[in-house]
Amino acid sequence: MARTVIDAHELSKTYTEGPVPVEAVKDVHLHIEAGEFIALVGPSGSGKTTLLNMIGGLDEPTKGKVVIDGTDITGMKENKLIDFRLRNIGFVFQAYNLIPVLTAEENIEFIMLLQGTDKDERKQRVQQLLEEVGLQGKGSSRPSELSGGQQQRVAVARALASKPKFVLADEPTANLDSTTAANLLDIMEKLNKEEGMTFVFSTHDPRVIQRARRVVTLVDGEIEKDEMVNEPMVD
Amino acid sequence: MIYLKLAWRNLWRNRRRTFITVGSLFFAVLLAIVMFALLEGVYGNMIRNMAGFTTGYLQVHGNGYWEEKDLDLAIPVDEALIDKLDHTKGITGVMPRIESFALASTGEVSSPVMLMGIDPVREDAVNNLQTRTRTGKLFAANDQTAAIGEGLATKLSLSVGDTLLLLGQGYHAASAYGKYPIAAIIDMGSPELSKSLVYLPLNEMQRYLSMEGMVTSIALMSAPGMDLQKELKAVQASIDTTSYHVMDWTEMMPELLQTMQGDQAGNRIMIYILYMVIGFGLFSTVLMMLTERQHEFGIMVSIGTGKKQLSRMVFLEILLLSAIGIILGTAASLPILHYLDAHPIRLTGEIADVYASYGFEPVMPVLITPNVFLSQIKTVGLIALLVSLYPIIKLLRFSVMKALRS
Repeated sequence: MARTVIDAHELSKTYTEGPVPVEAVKDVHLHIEAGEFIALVGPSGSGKTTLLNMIGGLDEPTKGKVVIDGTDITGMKENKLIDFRLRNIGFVFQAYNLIPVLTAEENIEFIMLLQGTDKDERKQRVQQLLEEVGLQGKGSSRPSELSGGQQQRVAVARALASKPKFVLADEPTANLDSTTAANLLDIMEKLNKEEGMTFVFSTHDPRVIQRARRVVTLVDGEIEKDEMVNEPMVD
Repeated sequence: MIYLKLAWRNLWRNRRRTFITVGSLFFAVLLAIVMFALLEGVYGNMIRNMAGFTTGYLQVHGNGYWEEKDLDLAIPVDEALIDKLDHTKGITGVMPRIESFALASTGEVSSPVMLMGIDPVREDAVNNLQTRTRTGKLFAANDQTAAIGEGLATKLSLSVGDTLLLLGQGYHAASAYGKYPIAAIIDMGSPELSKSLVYLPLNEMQRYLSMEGMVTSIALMSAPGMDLQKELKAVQASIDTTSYHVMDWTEMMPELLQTMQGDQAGNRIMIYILYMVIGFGLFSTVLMMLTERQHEFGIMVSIGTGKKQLSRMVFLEILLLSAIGIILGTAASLPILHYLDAHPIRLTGEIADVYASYGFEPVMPVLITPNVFLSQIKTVGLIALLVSLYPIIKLLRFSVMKALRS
């Protein structure tokens, strides 16, 4: 049996900033095992991004807990949580979100610098990741010199640089044309199949949903459906 | 190193804003340094003029002499003591003097005068008496002639070659009488001194007052901008303080110090206003920088950058921005200060008369000492540090989710 990397237990999130409290996520139970390629889907406002943020330790649940590979991150002190994210979770955001003043290589290397990885290992891994995402020769380009698809591939390489337990990708293909999106998904699928990397997507893009092996549908903050659409990847 | 790299590159993301901020810092630092150098130069010149002609920056005299001004409290002086003072660290001028009062007469007109016995070589080195001599020639050490101020010459209708009669009281109440041909008429700078000062060679003054081998004081000068208290301690360490007392000019001329402090306060307000402009300019840049990059900061924290690391990066950005402005401003001030040093601003008209009435030369020299630069660099640096506190506090407290949604 595969190892559980994410265990969300009775997870709820209520926003009280507006005049009326909004329940974005309600009592969600979600177990994700190592090697899964899973999509959280649902219409806008269904709570998928909120759920993803809570799993990633970016947002604090109002109720319930999140256990990552055996570590309960709920209520963890902020500095500890930042360090935990650095060492365990890779993020890919919708709008690429690379550091604009760093080159592609430096963006990938930055995570390893934060981790304290030694120089030789950093350089080697940067080259390896650039190769994996098909960006050999583009290492010294700044994000502004890369296309949207290329930037998103750098973002994937950056997410993988820290050797995380899983990658959370929030609408990673939303800004990409179909060919670029397909290329990016090919890369992520390959990393999932060949290296067993767990990917959790928050998306409403059918191109992502088609590739996912498990699709969790959220409606009004609750899990409406959780189905295996293909055989899950097992280590 | 990565934070320095990030900070440096971030500075140039918005070149125009960086240039404007650096430009404002540049002009502010330049202006502050030049203003400060002028103020210090004017005050330094003022003190130097007053101290050179009267008390010296420091003065060695007998215990109790300053309070009593009594010739009987004169001190013995020899080459060994002068030599010791000459070699005291920081001392650039040693002027043994005898000061007394007398009734001066031309036979027809008389006037009370202040008498000063001086070593003409040493005095000239400090007060440029040769240059200030308007008529005649300054006496030599062993001459038996006198030099008087222009005001006194007019008052007593004296010219070079005329004879001045002096009548006074000497050491231990001996009667003092002398008859001296006028060797030189000198521009004393101060109208007060000009109307009342008579110089005699020190040797002749000792003979006139029957106090051979003695002086009432030894005036000491040092380089402008030096730490007077340090020099005072050095002088105290080099002499026998049971017989001699050392004072600095602030103790001897407290009214001059008070006038200057009052005047300085007004001028410093101008510099403080300049500093406030610098502070607000820098602060607005920092504020814009923080607002624009909220989302980016959110991403950086999401992927594992600590808030302290983020604060460090922004702090370095502010520090670099300030350092560029400070370095350029300081560099640009150097040629300006060197020009003003070689060609000091000469005051004319009513202002010049006001200066003259206080006994000061109507010029605005600059004082170029490390402190002129360091004090401004330190102040602007401190402003930068204070300004950087805001983003540091903001970044340490900011919410990742709010930043990501921004």
